[in-house]
This record gives sequence, structure tokens and C-alpha cells, in this order.
Amino acid sequence: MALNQSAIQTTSHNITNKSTEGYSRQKVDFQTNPSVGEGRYQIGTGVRMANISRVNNPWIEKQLETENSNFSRLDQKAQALARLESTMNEQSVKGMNDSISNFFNSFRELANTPESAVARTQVREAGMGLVKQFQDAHRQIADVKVDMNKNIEFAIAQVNSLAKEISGTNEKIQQIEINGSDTANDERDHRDMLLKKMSELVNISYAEDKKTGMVNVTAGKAAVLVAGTTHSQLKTASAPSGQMLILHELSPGGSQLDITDRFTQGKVGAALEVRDQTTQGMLDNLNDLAYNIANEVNRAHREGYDRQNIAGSNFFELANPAEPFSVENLKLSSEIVKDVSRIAAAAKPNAPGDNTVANLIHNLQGRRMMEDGKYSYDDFYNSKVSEIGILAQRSTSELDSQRNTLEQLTNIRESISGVSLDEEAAKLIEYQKSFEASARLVTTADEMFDTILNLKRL
Amino acid sequence: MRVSDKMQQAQVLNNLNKNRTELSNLQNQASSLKKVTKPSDDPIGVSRILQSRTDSSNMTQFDKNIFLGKSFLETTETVLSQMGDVIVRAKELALQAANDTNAGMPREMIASEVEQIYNSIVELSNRRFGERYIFAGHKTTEAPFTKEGKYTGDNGQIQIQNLEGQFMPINLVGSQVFLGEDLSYGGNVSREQNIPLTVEDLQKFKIDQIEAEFQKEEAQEHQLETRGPANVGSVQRISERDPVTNARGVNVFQTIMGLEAALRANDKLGIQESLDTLDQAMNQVNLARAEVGGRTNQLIATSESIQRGIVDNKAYNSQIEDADVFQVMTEINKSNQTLEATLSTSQKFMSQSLLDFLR
Repeated sequence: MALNQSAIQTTSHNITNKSTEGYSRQKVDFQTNPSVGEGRYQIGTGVRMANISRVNNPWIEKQLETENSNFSRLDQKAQALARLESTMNEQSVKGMNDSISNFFNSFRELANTPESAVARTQVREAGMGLVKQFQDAHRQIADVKVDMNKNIEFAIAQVNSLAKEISGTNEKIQQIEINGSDTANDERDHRDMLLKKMSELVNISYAEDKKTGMVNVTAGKAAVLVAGTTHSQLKTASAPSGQMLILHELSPGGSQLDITDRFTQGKVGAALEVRDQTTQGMLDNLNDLAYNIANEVNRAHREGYDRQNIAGSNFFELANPAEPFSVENLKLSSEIVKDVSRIAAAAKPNAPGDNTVANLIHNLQGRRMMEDGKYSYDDFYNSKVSEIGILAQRSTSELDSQRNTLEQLTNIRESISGVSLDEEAAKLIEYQKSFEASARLVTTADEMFDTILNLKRL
Repeated sequence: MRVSDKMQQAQVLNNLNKNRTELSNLQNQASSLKKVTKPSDDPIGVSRILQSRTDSSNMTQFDKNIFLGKSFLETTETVLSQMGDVIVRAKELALQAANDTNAGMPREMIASEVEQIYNSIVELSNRRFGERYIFAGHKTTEAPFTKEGKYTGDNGQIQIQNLEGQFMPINLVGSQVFLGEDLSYGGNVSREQNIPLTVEDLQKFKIDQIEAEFQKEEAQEHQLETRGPANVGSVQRISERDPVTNARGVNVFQTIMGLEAALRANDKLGIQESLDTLDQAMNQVNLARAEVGGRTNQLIATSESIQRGIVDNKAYNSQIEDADVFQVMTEINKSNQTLEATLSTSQKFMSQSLLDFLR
């Protein structure tokens, strides 16, 4: 009867934990008691409980953990790429492509009427618009980078708290399983879940110590985060270039090791990849494009003469000449901003109707000026938009297929380890009946005893 | 297969999510009527869309350029046709005056009408289009001809882009049309072919221009006046034959001026001589008109092809970018039905439990 009660207890435990994350259903393993020999016969002495074990396939769990890590990497990547993509999305709003066209068309307008102050003002506005567009795009992309850094920082903090929790769980398991059996069901479930969560964030490898039942966790193949009941911390620090670095503290307050490039999986891996490859690449491309346009326009502009018959100076200049070229450091020549007659459209002095230089400048649009004459500005930019589109598209489809894989695996896992109410209900009835029968047995025994006691009276 | 509750629940949720995502995508398409709303929807298509947008905006600009060029050329044409009329009138007067028994009008009087004609030629050659002097070359802000018929403009040609990499000069240089200088083969006004489109070309172009200027000045310095002061206008009435193009230009101003001088001096021979040059001047102006007409026609043809291009471009863009409304609507219906089916089966599927039957 006590046994049946334990079984019912386990069933109720299963039912209540039906929705607990990472929970594996438990079952009571019954075993017959050693029988007693009675002459020629063996008489059974009933049942005892061998173990309460969890129904769990470690191999599936391991696989699930890997796929989950993969999934969260792709998920993070797809999200980040979608953001990057939106910075270059011109389907609904006007963007870079539009600004470039505008800029060159303003020079065409200037070529039409080089005498006109209106056309000149238009050129100035388009020039400022182009610079602003470059800077906006640059800022939006750089924002993604900052975001990635924040994500990394946050994820590392989570990893640290998980490491602490795992080491705590290790200790509990060790205490419970001191006698060597494999009984710390709930703690093991909990630890499995913690490991799974950790692997969503970073790539980890872990191994269980068969004797103590404790796991040791190594992150990024370099940093031992959990060793038995002790744990160490990962730190984040900003590099001077603005990149967030991941450091491993070898001992509390001790020396730190930069292991940033060891993280290739999980959320952190994705954030690092997007930050250091895609985002950086986009910023570099933008810089290239801005530099090329500014440089070529300047070269042509310097050859010209403005309305005041002064030889042309630079059209674009650096906001801070001491610093190297960057999109943020780009601006329209302050001379031109002040006075549009300084825009040089003519190739010779004293020729207000000469539009040779304006023609030369707007003709840049159709020429292949990027990457040693391979692409025109438009081609270059458009191909970059395509590129990020392809990246985003691929990562989304990868994510979808990974989601399917994960769903399948989760289904299998839940099929094995999940709680089914129907099953538990059936079991409940079974145990209840057994309990009733056992109780009945006691009653019967009691009645038999009564009978014996009442023998004399008859 | 063992089906646990969590599995059931996850499955229902996944299915619902799938349906909803699909429906939301379709909804997005239906409301924007675009099937490409972000680069990842069609990465290659997006690049083409952007390119054709650039093309479209450039073509619109080219069309604007052409419109301006056409107006400019039309104004030139008007001026030239008036110029032609004026020269015809001058010729009529010269014919009258060449005859000794002219209809009673003394040459003196004819001379004053010719003077008026001269004035109107000066006025016509200083005509403007908007704020710009049309015959001044690049010096469009100053009147190119003085009262004496001296040209103060330059020989700059205003090049207007009418297609990618294609340019059309929209002005006629006054010194060519009216002074007969630097005419091309056959006596027509020249069209600059060499348009510098790179910085290197421009540098070379500038050097070439300075050299040409220098040579021209030198040539003028060496030219000797061949007649005495009595016949003022006749000095360079007919400029030297161009050794290369073999063209011979006429100075319209001096022709008229010469006619007037001959009339006042009662120089019958001079008047008869000027008849010849007037014919040539007429010819020169007509040739210039033909050139203007040719350029205008060319621009109109380009403009038409650009208009077609813009429409084609729109159609092309729409093919990549725009959603097929019927298809989207049909698919929305389909997805909606799927969603409803999922919801109603889920409801039955999830609410059933063995516990309901154990009473």
C-alpha cells in the first residue's frame, strides 16, 4: 500500500509538472521482493520500489541542445540581419539610391542653366542631402553594432549567472547521489535545462563526471566556467575601437584573457559574426562609396571655374581636416554652403554659360568608378543592397529549416519524456485499484483473523 | 507513438504560428500591393528595381534637359528666321538700288532703311532666351555683339546631356553664324564633338583650347587689310577661305554695313557686289537654320524614345515589384480557411482528455 501511494505521489508529481520546462516524466520502477523458500515452493513476498527514475534519452537531449544552440544563433543572426536590411530598404522610403540620383541630376540641372542661382542652390541642397544620407546610413548601421555589443554584454551576464546556478545544482546532485545511484531526477532535469540555456547563448562543451555526477562546462573551448562546485566568470570590456570584448577571468580578480574570437555559436556567436563581418563590411562599403564620390567630384570640381571666375576648390571637405576620411567626417565645402556661386560649372574663367565641368561631374554617375573600374556608383550600391538581401534571405530560410529540425526533435523528446495526462490518468486508476485491492487484502486478512479468533465461540 | 500533452500543445502553437505568419505576409502584400517590401524578398529583383528607379529618374531628367534644349533651339530658330527675312529685305533694297532707274527712291533713303536693317540685325543677334544671350557662346550674361558688329562672346558650345553619355550642343556660336568664322565643311556651323568627360580629358581639352585661341590670335594679327578706308565694310566682307574645310563665311554685319556705305557713296558697283554677298549671307543663315532644325528633330526623336523608355521601365519595375492582386486575394482566402480549420480542430483536439470520461 505504501508503494502504491508512492506511485500515486509520483503520478501527481508528473501531472503538476506537466508544463515545467525541461521536465522529464518520472516513473516508479517496481521490483518483486525476494521470495521466501518454503520447502519445494518459493512464496512471493510482494513488491518493492527499485527506483524512481526519469524517462529520458540522453542522446536526444544532447542533440536537442546542439540544435537549440544552432537555432538561437540563426535566430539572433536573422534578427540582426533584418535590422541591417531595414537600414538599406528603399522599398517604402527614399534612401541612398535616391540621394545619389538626386545629386547627379542636380548637376544635370546645373549644366542646363549654369548661370542660374536656383540650379546652384539645388546642387548645394542635393550635395548636403547626399552627405546627410551617407551619415544617416552610417549611423543606422553603426547602431546595429552598438546593439550587438549590448546583446553580447547581456548574454555574458546571463552565462555568468547560469554558470553559478549550474555549479550550485552540481553540488545538490552530488549530495543527493552520494550513495552512487542516479536518483536526483529533478535536479538533473534542472541542470539539463540550464545547460541548454547556456548553449543558446555561447558554445559550450561539457562532460559529466561519472563518479560524482557533476558536470564540467567549458565555454568557447577555452574558458572553464564550471568545475564541479566551483565556477568562474566571463567579463566584457569595450575595446578602444568600440568593439565589445569577452574576457575570461582566470581567478576572481585575477588576470583576464581575451577569448572573444572563440565564440562561434549561440546568440553571442551570431552577434559577433554580424558585428565583425556583416556590419563592418557594410560600413566599409559605405565609406568606400562616399570616399570615391567625394574624391572624384572634388577632382573634377577643382578643374573648374566658379561664377566669380575663381578656380574651383574642393566640393566636399572634411569637417575635421586633422582626421582621416570617414563618412562622419564628410561635409560640403563651407565656401559653397555660404555662397552657391562658388560651385564651379565652367572649364574656363569668364564663361558663365560654360557647363563643361558640370557635365563632367554628372557624367561620373554612368562611369565605372568603383573597385578599379568594375562598377558604377549605382551598381556598387545596388549590389550591396542585393548582398544584404541575400544574406537576410538565406539566414531566414536557414532559420526556418532549423526551426523544423528543432520542432521535430522537440516532438521526439516530448514523446519520450513529456507528460501525457491520459497516461497519468490511466496510471492513477491503475494504482488506485492496486491500492484498493491491497486495502481489500488487509480487510480480508482482518476478517480471516476475526474468523480465527471466533473459532472457539462457534 | 506516444503523444504527450506538451507535444500536442507545441504542435498546435506551431501550426497556428505558421498560418498566422503566412496570413500576415499576404496581408502585408495586399495592403501595400507590393510583393517586394524588403531586399530579402527578392534580393536580385531589388537591385534591378533600384537600377530602374535610377534609370527612370535619369530619363526624366534627360527629358527635362531635352525640353530646355528644344526651347533654346526653337528660340534660335525664330531669331534666325527673322534674320533671314531681314536679309531678304536687304537684298530687295539692294536690287532696287542696283538699278539706275529705280522706282524713284533715292539711294540715300534706301540707305537709311538699310541702316534700320543693320540695327535690327544687331538686336536680333543679341536676343536672349530667358536671361541668356543665345549667340554668346559661353559668355551668356553679356550681349555678344557690339553696335559695330564686333563679337565679344566666345566659341563655347553649351552641351546638354540627352541620353547616358550622349550630348547635344544647344547653342549656335554668334561668330560662326553672323561673322562666318570657323565654319565647318560646306559652310555650316560646327558642332563640337570633343566633350571632355574625364578629368584627364578636361585637362587636355583646356590645353587644346588655349592653343587654338593662341593660333587664332596669331592669324588675326597677320591678316592685312586689303582695302582703303573709303570702303569700310568691304574689308572682310568675305573672310578668307578656310584652308582645311574650304568653307567661306560671310560677315553679315559688314555686308549690311558695306551695302549702306555703298548706297550712301552712290557706289553702284559696290551695291551689285553686295548682292552676291547677301546671297551668301542668306545661305549661311539658312544653313544654320537647317542645323538648328536637325538638332531639334534629333532631340524630339530622343525625347520620344525616352518617353517610351520611362513607360517600359515602369512596366518592368512593376513586374518585379508589384503583387498580383488576384493571386494575393486568392491566397489570403486559402490561408484564412487553413487558419480556421487549424483553430477548430485544435479546439476539439486540445479539450479532450481521458479525465473527462472517468466519472
